[in-house]
This record gives sequence, structure tokens and C-alpha cells, in this order.
Amino acid sequence: MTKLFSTIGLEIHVELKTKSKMFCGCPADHFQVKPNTHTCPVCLGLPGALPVPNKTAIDWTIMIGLALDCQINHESTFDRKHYFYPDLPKGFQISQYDDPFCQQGYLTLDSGKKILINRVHLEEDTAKLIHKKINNKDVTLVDFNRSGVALVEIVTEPVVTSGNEAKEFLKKLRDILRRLQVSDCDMEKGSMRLEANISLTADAKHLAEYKVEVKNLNSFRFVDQAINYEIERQTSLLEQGITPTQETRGYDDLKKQTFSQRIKEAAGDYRYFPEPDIPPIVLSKEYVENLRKQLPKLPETETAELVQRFHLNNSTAQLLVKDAVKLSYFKKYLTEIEPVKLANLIINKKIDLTKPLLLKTAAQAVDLKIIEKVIRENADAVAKYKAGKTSVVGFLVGQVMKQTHGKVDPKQAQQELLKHLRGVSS
Amino acid sequence: MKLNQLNLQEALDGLKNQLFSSKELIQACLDQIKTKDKYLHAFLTLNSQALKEAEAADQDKIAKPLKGIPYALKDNFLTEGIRTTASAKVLDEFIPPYESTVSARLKAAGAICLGKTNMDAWAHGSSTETSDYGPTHNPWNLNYLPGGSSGGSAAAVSADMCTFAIGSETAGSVRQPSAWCGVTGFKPSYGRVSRYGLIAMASSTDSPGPICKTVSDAALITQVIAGQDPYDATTSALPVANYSQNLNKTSLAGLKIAIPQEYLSKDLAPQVRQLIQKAIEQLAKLGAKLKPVTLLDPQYSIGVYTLVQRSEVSSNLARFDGVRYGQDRSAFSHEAKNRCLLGTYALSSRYHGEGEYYNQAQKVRTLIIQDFAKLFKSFNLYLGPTSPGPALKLGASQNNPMFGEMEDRLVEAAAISGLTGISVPCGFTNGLPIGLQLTGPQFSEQIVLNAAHAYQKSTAYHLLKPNLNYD
Amino acid sequence: MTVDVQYLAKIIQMPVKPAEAKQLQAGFAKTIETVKLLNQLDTTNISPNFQVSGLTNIFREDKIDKKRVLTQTQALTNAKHTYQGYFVVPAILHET
Repeated sequence: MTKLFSTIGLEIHVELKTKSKMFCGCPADHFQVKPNTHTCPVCLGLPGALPVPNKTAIDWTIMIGLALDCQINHESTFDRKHYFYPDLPKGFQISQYDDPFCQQGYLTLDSGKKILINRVHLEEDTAKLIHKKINNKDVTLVDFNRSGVALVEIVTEPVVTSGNEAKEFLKKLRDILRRLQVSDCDMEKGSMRLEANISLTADAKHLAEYKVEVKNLNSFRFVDQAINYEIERQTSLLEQGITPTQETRGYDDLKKQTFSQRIKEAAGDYRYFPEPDIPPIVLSKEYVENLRKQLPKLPETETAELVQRFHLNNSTAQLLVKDAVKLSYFKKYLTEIEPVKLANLIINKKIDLTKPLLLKTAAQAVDLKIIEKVIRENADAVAKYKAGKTSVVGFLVGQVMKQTHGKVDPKQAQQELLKHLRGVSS
Repeated sequence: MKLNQLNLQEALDGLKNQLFSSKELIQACLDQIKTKDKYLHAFLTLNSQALKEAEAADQDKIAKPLKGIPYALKDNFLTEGIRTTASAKVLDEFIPPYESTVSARLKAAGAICLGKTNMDAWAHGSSTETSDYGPTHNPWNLNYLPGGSSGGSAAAVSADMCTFAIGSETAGSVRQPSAWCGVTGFKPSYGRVSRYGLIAMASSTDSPGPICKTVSDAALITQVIAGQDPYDATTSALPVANYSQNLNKTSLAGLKIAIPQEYLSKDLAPQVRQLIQKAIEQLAKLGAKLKPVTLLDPQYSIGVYTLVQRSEVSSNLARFDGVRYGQDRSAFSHEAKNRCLLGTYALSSRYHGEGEYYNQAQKVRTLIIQDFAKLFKSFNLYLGPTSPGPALKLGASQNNPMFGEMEDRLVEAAAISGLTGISVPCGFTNGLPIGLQLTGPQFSEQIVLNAAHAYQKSTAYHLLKPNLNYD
Repeated sequence: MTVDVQYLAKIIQMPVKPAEAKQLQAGFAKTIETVKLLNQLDTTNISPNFQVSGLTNIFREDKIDKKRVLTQTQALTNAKHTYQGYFVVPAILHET
């Protein structure tokens, strides 16, 4: 049996949370907005309308590229990508093909493996399609509120080899994007969308001749499952000597299977050419360096620092870094209480992060003499306990707390009391 | 003289001195349209509010450069609330919800749009014969074409149905119909006038421009419509000069004008050659220094222009899918299909296939741009005939898959390089007008206008009007 | 190399009847001959000029432009088929 190598590439689309759309001044938010109320001649594709690029969207795209260690192209252009679909008002999408903003970067997994990034480019989003039955007829409704929203496309090289790796990559990517504050990366709202290209090859040095594209992956978990399913499915076919069909497949999360989708059109020929309505973008080294300076500390760096400076273990540090609230709480109180302890308290949800940290001295161990004393001095209560009124333990715990001036851990006190009460009941 | 026969300068003076009202001026034009347009078919849609707007202009106390002046607008400029079709059935019922920058600026300047003029459908042509609504006829002879694609606008000016008109040029579409109709057509540089709201033909060469009765009029209109537009990323930030005020030179001393020999080639009609020679002598008398030069063979410009333009056309027509507006794509006519097919082929074979035509065309475009750059190091302008001959008969454009591009071969090099140029009447042959083109480097509008103005003031061809007795 | 006009017409969704196709095919061939002349010129080391604006770095600030936003009525005004604020098209058979 020839060994098969998985070659998986991921394609991620991220909606930028700019105020306005990519090529016009319409509001970019479209979540729960009345249909076709955030449109203008440009994003509606009316005749005569012209695109003018959003500077912030470009800056953020470059920052994403820098955070992913990409090379930033000195000169970039937007290109027209042609195909017909009702969600594409101009009959072409303004995207980038020949000269994208960012190329050849990487993201490092915990194992040290680098997931190479082919490109990070900027484009515009399409309209939303909703399927409905009106008067018993199947139709599709189109809402252009989302049309023209700034969309960043991140494409990896086909170097991912498993569902797990894909999941880890996506989590780290999302953390970076959220840290940069360029997108909410909310899969449910659609501000982050995933596709996986999966194929298997017998020769590790050569890509397979086919590629299966899996779309509609609505969570990282589904990506993992879909990839695993596909590897199995394709392996089985290849072992029978059958080359899997080059196609687009969807993912059914109930059946946990991918399924073939009808190919919408010959996707191959997009007839790319440079967008004549938008002059090229030339980025000086100074401009890019200035953006680099504005980058916040990235999760990887932050995590490494926490590990190094405060001796946290890696996973604890990662959990803190992931959550802005947790991280800032940690940073606020790390001088007042031992950092490792503080981190654990935060991670294990033992502290209310909405309230300032109250420092208690460590609970003393329960003095057994005091337990015995309380039992001796409260014979009625003890009798009640033995008679079946177990709730009286609470009163006895209170007595212990009184005697110890609240310095012991009440749970521990209760434990010791019960031990003695049970032991004594003879 | 009837009010509709006045040129812009005369109309402005008349209104200023209260010799007549805007309402009377508009009414005179509307009357002219009523009597003559049934023969000429220059207009597709009339603005029902024109007279009301004229009345408002007469009451308006605020000074505006074109207050109360009636104009005709080519039907590929979007007018809010007024049907806009680009002479194509696909847009038969299209009522735009927004205004083009050009017409908005004219409105702000006080001008009144009389209506939308006929054109080659989607501006694909040099005859106005490919209009889905039937051709416009040349006011000089109804059996002849007015040229195109701004044929309706040129005919409207020539027949005194308005004070001035607006056209658009992708390669010759302002200047050629102006030449064929005996009026003045000015093409500002690419990037000088906003394309926002102009139905795109070739995005990298489209240039709105005025069609007028005089050069002086064209200068004033250009001033009003030119200038950077935040809605058009290809517009220049260069300040717009007071072109009309600066039109004071009547001597052309020191001006160096090149005469490209390729534009006076063998296939030029002998009468045209004679008229151009006469114009050369006239310009020399005015003080200009003229010298023959060699430019890249126009056949290459035809190839570049045909390929680049048709590629961009095929892309720009993709938005007409009938979902948000218009008819579905089966309503496209023959010429649109003709051009889109080549354009699609060119773009398809960009990365694969035998062609690579697109990339080669854009490289040759660079050669042509460099060719002009070299020329303009030693010369201020060049001249030639605007068109290889006078107007052609109705039907001339049919069964000719490259009619438009062939007719415009004397202006295509300039178009793909973004240059600015003008066509002014320079004589007649067989009762049909001939136009002289003066073309300069990008953003040299003042020099072009100055030279044309001086030439026009020393000649009287532009004062001759067609005999409009068609009954 | 003959170009399939029907195939191209299909890509750009401009249906062409057989008689028309013949005419267009002939015209197409003639036009290609004109374009082929460009190959006579040597363009080694010449970079293409896709634009003649001469401009670079033309942007807009990330601001909302209320002046251009259309009302729902305006947006839908030229559509043949609308439903409760949406444009309507025949059912797309699968979601992408």
C-alpha cells in the first residue's frame, strides 16, 4: 500500500470592521439591517458608478500581512475577476490577482511547524442570497447591504496535513486578527469564512492532479471533521485506483460527511485584468514600517513573554492572551500576588473579573482541637445532627469560623466536622 | 437671428443684458426641436421640466456661469429621474436614481438640460447608426450620417436645437461627429473631467467633452465641468485654469505644430488634403511654425485601441444582467455582441491560449505614449484631419465589423495616450463639412484651445450653418 | 486556430443565434488580423501601460458618505421583480 500524503490548503475570508465599505462610503455593517438600505450606485453596480478604495482597509490588510510575516509588495493593483452570479452586481469582483498587497508569510504552530501563507489580499464582498418560497415558487432573494464590504482573503500553501493542524492554525489566526482589532472573526455572523482544499498524493514532492474544495464550513470543529472525512474518503478511492473528482463539496454537520455540490459554472476563466478605474498603490518602505510600528503585541510574542517573565506554563499563558479581559486583569494584579497563582485563579474562574481583587491571607489549616472543642461545646446541635437533622452542620461550621476568627476555609471546616461527627456517632 | 441660433457667449451676453429671458431662449430651442428633430432624430428623451427650470433661472438672483443656458446631453450620462438609455434597448426603461458629475456641475452652474441625445448604442461606433432607436441624420444632408458616437449631440448643435451639447469620447466620439456636422468638438485630457455617472465604455480612455458652436464656448464649458472628483479615482488634482479668460492670444508666434505624415496618407480624399494644407498655411500666417514629422504607423494604434477598448467594454457590460435594472442580456444588439466577443477572447487568452494579445497591446500602448512624449519635446501640438473624409452615407457602417475603429484611426493614438485635442471646421467638400484636429499633450488644454481659437477667429467656416429646409 | 464564437457568447451570457454567429465569426477573424499586426513590434523590456491617469495612491477615508446612500425604494426602483425590500431572481439551486 503506497503511503499517501495529505496536502491541504486553507482559504480564509475575513470581513474587516471598517466603518464604510471597500469602494464606497456606504455603512459597512449589515447584520440585522433592513435589506437594500445600505447601498449606493457603486455597491449596487449601477451604470456609471466608479470605485474609490478605502485607505483604512488597505492599511489593515498590510498589518495583517505584517503580523503573518509576509512580504509587502512595493506596488500593488486591484484586478477585476469576472463571473456571473446574482450576488455580484458588476459581473466582476474587484479583487487582487497579479500584485496582491502581501505574499509569502507564515504562521508557526506550537509544534514549531510553519504554515506557509501564499498571500493576503483585499477584495470586496458579494451580496447576500436568501432562498425562499413565494407563492409556492422557489426563488432567491438578493440583499446588497453586504455587497462591497471590505474582505481580506488569506490563502495558505497546501502544507496543512490534518484536521488538527487546520484547527490550531485557524485558532491562532483568529487570535491574531482579533488582537489587531480588524475583524470580529465571528463565524456565526459570517465575518470569518473558511474553505479547505484537500488532496492526497503518493509523492510528497508533487501535488496531486486533482483538488477537492470544501465549502460551507461554519466552525473550526467542522473544518477538522470535514478534513478528516475527506482524507478517509479520498484514501478509500485512491486505494481502489480511482482519482477523486475535482469538485466543490459542502459539509453536512449532522451526517458528519462532505457531499458533492453542483458546480456553479466553469470557475476557471475569470478573465483577470488590472482594474482601470483604480490607480496602482505604491507603498514606500517608510509607509510600511510606520504600519509595522502600529502593530499591537501579537499573541505569540505576548505568550512567550508571559512564559519567560512570570514562569507561566505555555497553555496557561495562551489562555490568558486569548482573552483581553483575562489578560488585562492579570497584568493589573501580578505585582500583588504570585503570578502563577494569579494566573491559575483567573483561568480556573476562581475570581470575579468584574470586581477588584480582594486579597485574603491564605486560609489556615483547620485545627482539629478547635473542631473537638466546638463539638464538645455544642452537644445539643450534635444530638440534633445524630437524630437526622443534618442541616445543623451549617451552624457548627459557623461556630468553627467564630472560634478561628474566619481564618479557616469553611469548606475544610465542614469536612473535618463531618468526619468527626460521623466518627463519633457510635 | 433667432435665439436658438446664438452661440454660448452671445446667449450669456443677451441674458445678462436682459435682451431676452431664459424662458424665451429655451422655448426657441424647443420650437426648433419640434420642427426639425422629426427629420434629424437627434433627441431620444426631452426634459419635461425644461421650461419650468428656465422660469426659475429667470428668477434666480445668484450669479452662475451658465445660468439659463439650454444644452443637450448625450444619453450615456446619467440624469436623476430622467430616462437614460445609452441608446440601448437593454436600458429602455432605466430611470437613474443619481446624477452624473458632469450634468450635476452644469446644473450647479445654472445650465438647463433640454434632453438626452441619440448615440451609437453603448457608444460603440462612429456613425450613430448602431443606435437601437434608429440613426440620427446629418443636418447638412439627411442621407448622410452625423458621425458618432455623439452624433445626436453634434447634430443638435449643428441644427441650432440647443446652445451647446455634451458628448463623450473614447476615441473620436466627440471630435469626429463634430467634424462631420461642422461644429467644434473638444476632448479634454483623460482624467481632466469626471467619468462618474458616465456609462463606461473603455474605462481607460473615456473622456467627457463639450460640442459647441465656437472654441470660446468649448473653453467655458470645459472650465465648468473639469476638475478632480472624489467619486472618480482617475481624475487629476491639477487645478482647472480659467480657459476662456486666457483665450486672448490671436497670434500664434512661437507655437510649434507638427504635421504627422501618417495622418495625410494616400487614402485621404484629395479635397481633404487640400483643406488641411490650407489650414496649415493659415496657421503659419498666424505665426505658428509647422513641420512634417513621422509617427508610429496608425495601424498599430488601431490594433491597440481595438483590443484594449473591446476588452474593457466586455467587462463594463457585465453588470447589465437585468436583476437590478434593465432588460436581460438577450436584449443586447449586434455591435455590442461583436465587441464583447473580441474583448472576452482577449481577456480569456491573457494567461493561456495562443494570444497574449492583451499584454502585447498594452505594451505597444507604451510605445505609442513614448512616441508622443518624444514628439512633444520638440512641438507644442500636432495637427491633421479629424476624420479621413467627410460624412458617409447612411448604411456605411453596416456589415463592417471594424467600422468604428477604422473611422477613428486618426485619433486613436491620442485617445489611448490620454491626450487632449479639438476639432474645428476647416472647410467643405461636396457640401459636407471637414474638421481640422489640433492635439496636444495630456493637460495642455489651454494650448490646444488657444491655437484653435486663433485659427477659428481668422476663418469663417464655423459660422456657416446647414440649410434646414427638409420639407 | 478558429475561435468558437458560440463558446465565447456563452461565457459572457450574450446568446447568439446560428445565423448571427456566422456573421460574428467572420467579423471576429477580420478583427484578429488587425490585432495580430501588433506582434510585428518588438516590445522586449517594455512594461505595459494599463492606465494613463498617471496617478497612484488615490484613496478615500474610512467615513460614511450619507449623500450617496440610496433609500430602499431608490435602490429597487428599476428592478422588475422585488419582494419585501429584496431583489428577486429565479432560485439558485445550491448555496455557495
